[in-house]
Amino acid sequence: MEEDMDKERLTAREAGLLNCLDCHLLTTKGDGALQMRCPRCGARLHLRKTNGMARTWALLITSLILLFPANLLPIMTVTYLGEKEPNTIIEGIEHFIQSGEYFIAIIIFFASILVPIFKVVGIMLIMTSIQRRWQTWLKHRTLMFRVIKFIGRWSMLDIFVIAVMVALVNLGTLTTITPAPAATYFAAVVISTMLASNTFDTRLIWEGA
Amino acid sequence: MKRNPVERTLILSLTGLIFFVPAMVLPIMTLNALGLEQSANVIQWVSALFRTGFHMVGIVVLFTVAVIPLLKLLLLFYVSMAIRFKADWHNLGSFFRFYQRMDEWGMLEICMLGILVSIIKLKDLAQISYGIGLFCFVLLLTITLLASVTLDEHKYWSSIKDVKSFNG
Repeated sequence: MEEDMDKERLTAREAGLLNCLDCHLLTTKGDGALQMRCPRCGARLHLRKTNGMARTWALLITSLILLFPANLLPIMTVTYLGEKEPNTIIEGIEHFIQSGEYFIAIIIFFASILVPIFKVVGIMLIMTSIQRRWQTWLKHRTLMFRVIKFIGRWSMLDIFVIAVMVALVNLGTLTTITPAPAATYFAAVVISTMLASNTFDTRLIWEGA
Repeated sequence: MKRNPVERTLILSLTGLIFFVPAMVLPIMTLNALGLEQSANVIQWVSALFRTGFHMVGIVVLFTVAVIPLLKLLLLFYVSMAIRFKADWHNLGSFFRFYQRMDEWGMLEICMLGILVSIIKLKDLAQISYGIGLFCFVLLLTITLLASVTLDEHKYWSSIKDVKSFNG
């Protein structure tokens, strides 16, 4: 069933049309004009984003490497009466479970652990499927990418929690909270995964299908 | 089809701009433990991250919570004014494109969730009182969200083109 539909489908590229990714105006492709600009909004037009695959792979591998220090190193240090206690993301979640705040524990687990991993693995899976020219699950893959792009930015949650806590819990010798190295790595993971989903061109999913 | 979508977006972006400065400089909340007190506004969150040597994290917070939300409101106000009054102002297309590309990097709603999580984290350790800054922050966030919901990007692009051709 899906194969029959695939044969009838005509891509915009085959029809000589170009879609502006910024204002979504459909224009006819001029002959050999490599650096066309959108007649309506003036954005650069590309049949496919420049070096889309290479850039997305580079950013994904960067994110994957950064995920390790982000999850294994402590993300903040709580000092209580001179006693320092470094906390990783997982230890933070354990604290919430111990104090019975299951809902918050689940939110943090999703935003800080599950979403970054799901995002990196998900986009890698889509990229591999394109390079291997898998012909199935086209709609599902596009939907999966949209979900990934939508939820990705929510991983920044932990960074804001740290910002609020570090500024507030600054009570001299009684107690202070300071950020720890994983905070930087974690912010970098979120930024590089967001950039990875921006450099990826969803039109590639439909190419050659 | 909503009535007066351009006017709605225009008014919302203006209202957002009014609440922006109070949301950034008024104290969000105050922590109280054993007579010791510490309050902080958004700018102090960033300076606390700088003070502890986490400059990159500080810059990320500064941009996602302050710089980009402000730029978004300014750009939206500028473009909406031009469309409403059919004025062919400079760089309408580039500015609106810039707005769309920055959209996902403004993270007020995620920051709000962060504030809630830290309230729950801190509520057992110390007494928390909420500042007027939090009220302004919630308003700023709500207005920004409403502005992006009412914003009809398709209509804006065709209006930008009309404005340009109308004025030659």
